[in-house]
Amino acid sequence: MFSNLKDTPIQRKLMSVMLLTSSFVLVLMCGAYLVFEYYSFKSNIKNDVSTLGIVIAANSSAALAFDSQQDATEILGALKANAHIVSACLYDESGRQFARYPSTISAQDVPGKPQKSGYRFESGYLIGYQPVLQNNERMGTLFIKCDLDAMNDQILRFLLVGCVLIVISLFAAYLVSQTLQRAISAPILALEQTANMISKDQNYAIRAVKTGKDEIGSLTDAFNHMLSRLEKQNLEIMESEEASSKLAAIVETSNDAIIGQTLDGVITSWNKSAERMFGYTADEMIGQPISKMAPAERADENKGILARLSKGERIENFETERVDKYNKLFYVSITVSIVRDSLGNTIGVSKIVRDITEKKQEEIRKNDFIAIVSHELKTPLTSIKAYLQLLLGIAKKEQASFSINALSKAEGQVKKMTSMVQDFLSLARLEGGNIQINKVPFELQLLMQEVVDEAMMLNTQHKLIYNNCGSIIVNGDRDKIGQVLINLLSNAVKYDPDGGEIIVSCDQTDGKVRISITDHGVGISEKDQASLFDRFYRVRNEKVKTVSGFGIGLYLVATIVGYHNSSIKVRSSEGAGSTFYFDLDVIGS
Amino acid sequence: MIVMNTYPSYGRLKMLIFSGAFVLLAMFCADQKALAQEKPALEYQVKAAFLFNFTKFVYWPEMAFNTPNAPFVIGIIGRDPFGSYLEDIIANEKVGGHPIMVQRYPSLREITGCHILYISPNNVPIKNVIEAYRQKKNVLTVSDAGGLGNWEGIVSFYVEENKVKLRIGVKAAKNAELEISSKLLKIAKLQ
Repeated sequence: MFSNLKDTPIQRKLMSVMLLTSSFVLVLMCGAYLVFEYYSFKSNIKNDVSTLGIVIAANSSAALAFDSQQDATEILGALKANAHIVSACLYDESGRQFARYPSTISAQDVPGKPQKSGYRFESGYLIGYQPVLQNNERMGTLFIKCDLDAMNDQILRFLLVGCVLIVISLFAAYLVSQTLQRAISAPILALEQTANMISKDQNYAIRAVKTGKDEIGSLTDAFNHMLSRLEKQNLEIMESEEASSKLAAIVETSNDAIIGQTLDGVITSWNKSAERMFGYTADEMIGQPISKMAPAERADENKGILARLSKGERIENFETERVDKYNKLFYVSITVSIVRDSLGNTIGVSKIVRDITEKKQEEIRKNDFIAIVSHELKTPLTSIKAYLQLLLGIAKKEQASFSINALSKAEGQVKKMTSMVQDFLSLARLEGGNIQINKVPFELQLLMQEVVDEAMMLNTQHKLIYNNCGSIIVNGDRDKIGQVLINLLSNAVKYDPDGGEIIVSCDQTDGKVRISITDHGVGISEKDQASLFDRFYRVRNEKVKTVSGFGIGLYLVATIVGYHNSSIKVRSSEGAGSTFYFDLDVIGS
Repeated sequence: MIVMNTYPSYGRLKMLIFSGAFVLLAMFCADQKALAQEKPALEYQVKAAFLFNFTKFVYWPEMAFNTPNAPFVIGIIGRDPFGSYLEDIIANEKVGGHPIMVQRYPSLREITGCHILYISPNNVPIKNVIEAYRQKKNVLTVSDAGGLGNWEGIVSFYVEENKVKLRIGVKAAKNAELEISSKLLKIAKLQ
């Protein structure tokens, strides 16, 4: 019954509960009343019969005393008034039967001897033994037996009335509960209807109507609140889906290969351009190690990148080589970005790979060209220089002052040009990967002195202050470091056209020596500082418009310093001069 | 049983009386003399019991007794038909605190204060006694064997259908200033 109740509609459930409760109460009440009635009836009938017994017994004393059986029978006959007295008997003092009621019954129909005084219920009858007393003297005993038909009739009547009452009450309860249950079920049903409507139509804009401040009311509130959030989230999901589909479209149509990978180097995404660039389809590559695309000699490159990323280093862009499905080697530029989850944990890496083979080949061709040109220029320059030195020697002998002056200037220009050509050659070698860095321990002081002396000889306009480094042995390519120092010093001279102090100094700290060159020239704007060390970059400044150059000097400096485990840095502000500095490893003194 | 223990002789004797009464029909005309050796005839046993039972259904005023301890006297005038049987019945019994005793009067003149006066049917001029006690207060006169004319005392025994029955003179009782229980009146024939 209760298991069925679980699946019945709530209206039926409520009504069942109400009806069950009322029937239970009714039956309980009727039962209790019946029991009460039973006992009170028993007590009443006992009282009635015992009263009758006392009266009859009192009236019988003379009949017993004077042996008047007729009179005794007459007295007992009065019991006829009570239809439920089945039989009665008077016993004399010795316990012998004296008179019986009704007179027609035989001696066997009543107990042969009187028993203990008192009234009791026995096998469906009330029987009583009443002593007959006169002046407190026992004259005999009255036996009286009464059936319980009246009680049984009454109980039966009561049961009938009770059943009818229960049926009527239940019907009334049914009618009332039908109305009352609506108070509870109607809001629940309305809520259910709303929920069904929402789940059917997927319309999260619908709201349930609150009907009261009870639990159903707060349920409605919670439901509506949930709906609001659902609606909002739904909107957000739609927006983010839109955004991600846009993003996916961008990724798919991008000319660059965009590859996602886990921190373990397993590929998780592979776009169309990646398919085109590497020849593998997405299905082939997803789940494969990223190292598959690296040429054998660069197999560990990815590991290194991941290691650096996991240490928190930033790797934005680098150039390297990759192989495609057909083992064709090509140059790529790779941009790495870290992918984080909503909690900020690094969960993977996204790489944008751009094929730069053509650009690279273009560069190689250009470098080759520059190298050839520079080389071809160098030969005539050497001849010009030799002839100029010859002519200068003759002029000095003849004391021809004009010629000496002119030839000296010409020689200076030739030197400058040779240095420029030298730079180009160096550049070409650098770019072509042909530069040779021969690191040997050398005494820094001697190199510094040489460079400073030469610069002093060429420039009379500026005051060069050299703070002696003392005897320090550093590890490096002596010629290349010399080139760096010459470049930096010639820049300092060039960009301080009015002629001021140029300070060259060394500072030794922690196994390193910091070499810095400071001028008091025009300075470098912050914008220019950012690109200062790029190839062919030239500062645009009205004051130094006349300064010649190709913009390769600082690029060379940065590259060479880079090969010495250091980097060239600049500290400058416009109009206040600049300080360039870099570090070298000290291996002794 | 308790009652019987309290009045052992009474209970036992009454039992005998009633047993006698029930077999009266058979025994009445039988040889009475054989029984009379120890007990009187059943009729007289019944009458003796009735005499005693009168003490329970008739109320004597307290002035009938000289002192609170004065005995309740059952007097017998004329020949005594009960023998010691009556004494056996009343032994240790009391009427309202007064012990019961039996006194026998040979003649009318010898009658002293008594409360019940049994007038034996033989040898005594009943009429004289009746006359003497017509105006006497507080004495229940009991006559035996009818045929005494209109007035037979307050109570008189008679036998009908072999049973001892009572006849009570209500007016005489009133004159004697005795109160008789209605229950007794109910079973007696009234005059």
